[in-house]
Amino acid sequence: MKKSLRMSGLLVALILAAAGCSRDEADSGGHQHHEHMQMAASEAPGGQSVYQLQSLWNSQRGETVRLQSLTGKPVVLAMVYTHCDHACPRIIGDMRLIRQALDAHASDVHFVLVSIDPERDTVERLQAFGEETGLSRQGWTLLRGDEVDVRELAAVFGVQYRRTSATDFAHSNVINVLDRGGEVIHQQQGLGSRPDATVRALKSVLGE
Amino acid sequence: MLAVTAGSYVPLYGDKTRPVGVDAFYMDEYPVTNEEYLAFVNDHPRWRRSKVAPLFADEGYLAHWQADLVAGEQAPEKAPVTNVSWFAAKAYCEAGGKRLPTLDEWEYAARASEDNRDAASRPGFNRLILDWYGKPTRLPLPEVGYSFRNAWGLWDMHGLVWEWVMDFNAVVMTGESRKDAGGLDPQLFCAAGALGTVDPADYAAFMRYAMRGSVQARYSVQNMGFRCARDIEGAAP
Amino acid sequence: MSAHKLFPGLVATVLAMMALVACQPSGSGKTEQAESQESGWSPPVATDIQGEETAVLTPPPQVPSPIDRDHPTKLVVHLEVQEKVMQMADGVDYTFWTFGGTVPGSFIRVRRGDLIEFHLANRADSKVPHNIDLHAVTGPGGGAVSSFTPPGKETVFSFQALNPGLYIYHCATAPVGMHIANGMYGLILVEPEEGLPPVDREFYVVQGDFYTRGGYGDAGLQPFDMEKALKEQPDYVVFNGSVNALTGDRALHAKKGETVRIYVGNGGPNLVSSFHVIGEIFDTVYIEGGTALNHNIQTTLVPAGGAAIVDFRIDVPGELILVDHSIFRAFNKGALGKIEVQGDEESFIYSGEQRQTVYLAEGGAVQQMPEDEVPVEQPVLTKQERIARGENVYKSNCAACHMPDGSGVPNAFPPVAESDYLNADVDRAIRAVGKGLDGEITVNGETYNNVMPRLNLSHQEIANVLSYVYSQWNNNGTEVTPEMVDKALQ
Repeated sequence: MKKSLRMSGLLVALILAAAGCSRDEADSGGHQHHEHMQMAASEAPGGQSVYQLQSLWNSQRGETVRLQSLTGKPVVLAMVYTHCDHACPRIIGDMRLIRQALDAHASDVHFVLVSIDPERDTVERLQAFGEETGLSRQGWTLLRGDEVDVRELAAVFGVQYRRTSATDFAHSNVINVLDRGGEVIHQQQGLGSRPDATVRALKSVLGE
Repeated sequence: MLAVTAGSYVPLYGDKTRPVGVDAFYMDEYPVTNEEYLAFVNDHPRWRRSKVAPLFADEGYLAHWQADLVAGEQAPEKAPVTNVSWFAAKAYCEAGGKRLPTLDEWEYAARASEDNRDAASRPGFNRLILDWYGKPTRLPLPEVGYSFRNAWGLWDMHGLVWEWVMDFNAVVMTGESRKDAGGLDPQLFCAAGALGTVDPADYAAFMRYAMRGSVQARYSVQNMGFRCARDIEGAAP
Repeated sequence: MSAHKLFPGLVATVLAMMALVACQPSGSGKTEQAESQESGWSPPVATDIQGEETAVLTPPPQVPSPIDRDHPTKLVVHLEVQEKVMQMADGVDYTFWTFGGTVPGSFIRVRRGDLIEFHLANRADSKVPHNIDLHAVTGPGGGAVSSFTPPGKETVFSFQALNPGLYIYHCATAPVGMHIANGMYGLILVEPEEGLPPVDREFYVVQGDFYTRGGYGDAGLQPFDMEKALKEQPDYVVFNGSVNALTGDRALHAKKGETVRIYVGNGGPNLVSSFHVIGEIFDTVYIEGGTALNHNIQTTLVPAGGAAIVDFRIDVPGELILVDHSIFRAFNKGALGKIEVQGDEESFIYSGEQRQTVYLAEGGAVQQMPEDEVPVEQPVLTKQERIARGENVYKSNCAACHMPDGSGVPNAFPPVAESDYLNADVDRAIRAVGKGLDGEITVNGETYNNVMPRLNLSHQEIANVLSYVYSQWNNNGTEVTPEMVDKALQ
């Protein structure tokens, strides 16, 4: 059993490499005029870092932030929408599982949801959702942004989504893990997956 | 840029009874050329081949160019620029106060034949497009203004290169097209049932959707270029 | 799903292979089977994988050497998708989409239990994205989900070969039918641990149907015809990607007394093949490429997207002809191949090897019933012209049995050269051609008891062919006219 588990880890690594998510360090894009919005951003993001994106986001707490403000802690991030009644609750459930598995380290990790439905997911809606679900109390960050910026963030994560009706979206089910500098180091694909590999990835960042 | 007037169409993965409305918009007459893109990287160093961040473009970015600021023999001035990532294409358009066209805008505008704004259901039209798919890519690519000018006045919507669109990743595809097309596995999607394609014989459209579904935003593809679009201010709905 | 609890490793592997989208860890068929205690079957997830090798792939009709390993290994397979123009028939080109530059694609040979690390590359000059569905894979889409590759990229995925057998692989990118119709298929053999019984020669043959804008034989670069494909009306049905891929200089070769194994596949996209080798009986057929064996088989069905392994010992020299026995496909659409067998004749087993030329003589042209031809038939003016036309009729209708030189075949087909039978009675000769012959006749002192079928020839043609025969090979030079034929056949 152990052997095959290791094998699957190898596979994940291979797939990630194929998907262009490898950790190769490279020189940055050279556009480091970031502003300090919320939490202090320590240094310029690397060439693979998602924090190179300059888009602005509204949180459920009413702040306006750049993703770079997440710098410093590993991040578990998924793209969902709050009116979704099937897959998204399961993604959030899977994220809760990850959080539980982290035990005492849970507070050392940012848990972030980004809406793919910014039209309906207003700050007010996100705030209400965060309270109803108890996510806000646990320190989760719920973000909304301009449609183009949502598209771009999805492009970075390789997330595909499409509005299929007035109320619904089809979308990939992916939970992304970012390291302290904002590089994608792991992607948990699908629903109801065991969190083991994701937790391992997080613990490796946390230095366990 | 040329104006494309408002209208509606039924996308490949759509519902025949609910056509998708498209507002009027402007679109570039030709795909962006190497010459135009060279001017852009001159002004925006972060998009030069040697400078671009790996998050935004893979190692194939402008690979057929001779150097950072020299397009060279494999990339004739008037030929469409290819080997550009989605991020790069988006940045180019934004630098000019434009944007990438949406998938709906592109598909809507691309339904026009030389003399008819909606020729997509005509068998001869699809055949023309399929013939292009059936021929190997000729390199270096020919100059823009190569295949045909459609009823909107747009050149080369088919028959020269693939083109990026803003929401290329709206194609929710696994690459397992039997699943994707037939919706055999409704669990794959939240909104099951909306997946039946409009016309299984519309092979030409299948190819475009497959292409979009196969790429990542940082990919640079040898026969994939782009053109820009822009809103029409105060356009009637 | 309880599959999780039982086989977390396997399920995780399957999930890891789903590169883009996956909601449910849709347990593969095998995993579910494994759950059932009743079946007593457990997935042979090998734990003794040793070493690493790069697979040697071969183009058709070659087959990689049998595997002599006694353990599973990590096997690295590199396969490159190429879109390229190749010949479909003489003067006819087609843009084939290929796995490895050939149709069918490269043959892949692995051992049961091997962990295959599959690298699928799509050349930068390709027009479209591709992927691969290997029927040997237990997992979503047979690998298609994990191998969706745009031009200029390479994807990697892994799978374990759980089930022995011969499997088709093919592209499953939208539109699937078109990718397959353009030639994107091949075979992967998963050898059982103990290997297959050794044979002297192994060949790789895959049938496919093709749909072109023009009809059979229309020259030039022919584009794919979607309408014909939808109607399942192919212009070409061929072995190994083209008419003549296995004939002429490219015929297969074997020697008398050897055992031959053909790995037969059918890429489709539409037709089911009735695979037959004219002049042979399959001693053993691995039905549909699986483990069930059947013996003494004349024709075996190879479904689209399926395969079969046929073994036979060659006892007689000559030519063996591979056909799809849905026979118009063989003689009018290209589904013909040839094995040339060298060795001494074995008349005890078989004495009339010329017979197979009957089939080759037909050619690929559409044959019409004589009634249709009558209106276009031009009257003949001179005897020379009649003889010249008769020669063509002879070559296409008579030479196969009576031989091009009129000498016939001993004990089977009487000679028409220096024939006392013909020279003695013109009307009898006309009736033989026009109405057929049945029963014993004596020609030049030899007795023949066989059937000559009535030939569908016009009276004009009968006159021409007999005039030709009478003018040749020391016959008496009689000119036969249509009027004589009319009279004799009244």
